[in-house]
Amino acid sequence: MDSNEIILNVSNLTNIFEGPAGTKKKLFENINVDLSAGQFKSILAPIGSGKSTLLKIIAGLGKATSGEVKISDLNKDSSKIVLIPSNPSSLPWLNVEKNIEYIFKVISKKIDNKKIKEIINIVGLKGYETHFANNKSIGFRFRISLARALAVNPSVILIDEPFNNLDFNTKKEIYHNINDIYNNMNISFLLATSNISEAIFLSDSILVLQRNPIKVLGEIEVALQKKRRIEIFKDTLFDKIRNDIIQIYKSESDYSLHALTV
Amino acid sequence: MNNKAEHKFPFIYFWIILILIYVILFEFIFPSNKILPRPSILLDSLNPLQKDYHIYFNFLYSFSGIYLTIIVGYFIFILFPVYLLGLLDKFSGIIKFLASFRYFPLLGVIAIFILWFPYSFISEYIFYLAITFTFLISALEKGKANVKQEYIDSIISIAGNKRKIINEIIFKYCQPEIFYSIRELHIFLWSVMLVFEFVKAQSGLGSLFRSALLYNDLSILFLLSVIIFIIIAIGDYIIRLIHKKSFHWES
Repeated sequence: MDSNEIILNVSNLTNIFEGPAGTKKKLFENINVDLSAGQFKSILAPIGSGKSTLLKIIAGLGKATSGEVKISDLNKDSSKIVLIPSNPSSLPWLNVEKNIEYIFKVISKKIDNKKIKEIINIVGLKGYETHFANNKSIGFRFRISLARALAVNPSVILIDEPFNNLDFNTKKEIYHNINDIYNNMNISFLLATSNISEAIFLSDSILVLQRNPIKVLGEIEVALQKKRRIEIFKDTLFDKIRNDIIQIYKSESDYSLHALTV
Repeated sequence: MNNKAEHKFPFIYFWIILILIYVILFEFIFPSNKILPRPSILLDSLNPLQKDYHIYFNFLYSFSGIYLTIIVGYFIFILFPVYLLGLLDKFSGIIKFLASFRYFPLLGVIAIFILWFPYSFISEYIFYLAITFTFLISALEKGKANVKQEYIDSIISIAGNKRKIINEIIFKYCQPEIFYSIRELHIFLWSVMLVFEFVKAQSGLGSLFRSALLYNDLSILFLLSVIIFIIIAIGDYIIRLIHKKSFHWES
């Protein structure tokens, strides 16, 4: 696979949302996103700005007022694009193993127990195969959602801000986990987040957006090493990127910065 | 002693004390009264209850009416969830309208049924089944409205908009709600059935109430009430137990 080949192209996406009184509100305007094969890109925008709607439209779960979403199917054996919603989507009546098995059923594929075991290992749920998600932490449930996404062998995984309510240690583990998956598997990621450090830690490239309506302010390349651990937060380059992002918001004198986590 | 045992004992004591008070009060202190029968008369009434009132047959008649319809109704829901959810999608307005009638003043409906089918026990089953269906479909409707969108979104994003799979998830999610409504239905069906049988005066525990009233037989009335109370309590306990064991995942 050519790593520069554009796998997902979003062009001029505009969404106008009609309120109950007939008032029209522009949620986002002329959004352009290119995601290359094997790239990890973050969409950084404040909380409540419409990132989830944007991801849903990209995932095919909603329609934009205008614009286009193009997906090139590089991996013929894969489902093109999978969304991990912000709230846990694992089915509470199934245990970890059955949750992944269910995805095989949904896509009409023969259950591959070897692959299920492998995925459980990858997402760090080994030993928890028979555990149910209902009384577990958000982090645990996110891992199941991630495992379910991996089960379909996707080309692109869209992650919609699932880390907001996690404690630092769980966040750290999941960041490492995602970074390992990104480095070892041939999957592109598009993450929607309002956390600047999270975006830098996980991504190759960050699309900096303002809100009301969402507009692109700039794109920042993250030239850190591929394999990352939490200590990278102390790296001077990490700090510089963080300051660059803050400067973009400040130069636009945009109040969006107040709705972001640094 | 563990906490569970601490909780259990007062409940058992409560019933033992209640029975003791009843025995002392009505056997020894007020043996002749018009409120409750003497306990010794109650024991003597067990024999006529079997021989004259045919309690076994009438008990089976009522018991099957209630529990068969609940089981049949539930199995219809288990076997055709996708179809039923499809019905809900298409005729949501009509179903909501029908569901709002689940507490319809029942004497009127009962009277109509008795007029239409005075000797048919099948009409009774159909009547109970209709109530069961109304309860369950309104529970399904309520549960469907509360399904977490992320379950649906993640599946659509993986498999596309496959209605069958989405309905499977919706139905599974609604099952605890359906079981809550079965608990409510269970009590409701017993009350409806007793009234139905009382008015119809042919078979069942309700008709025994009518006969006992006719003969002014206080001890039989009291015994019947105790028996029905125990059956409802056991039925409710079993439904709660199944609920607890089957839907441990419910948050």
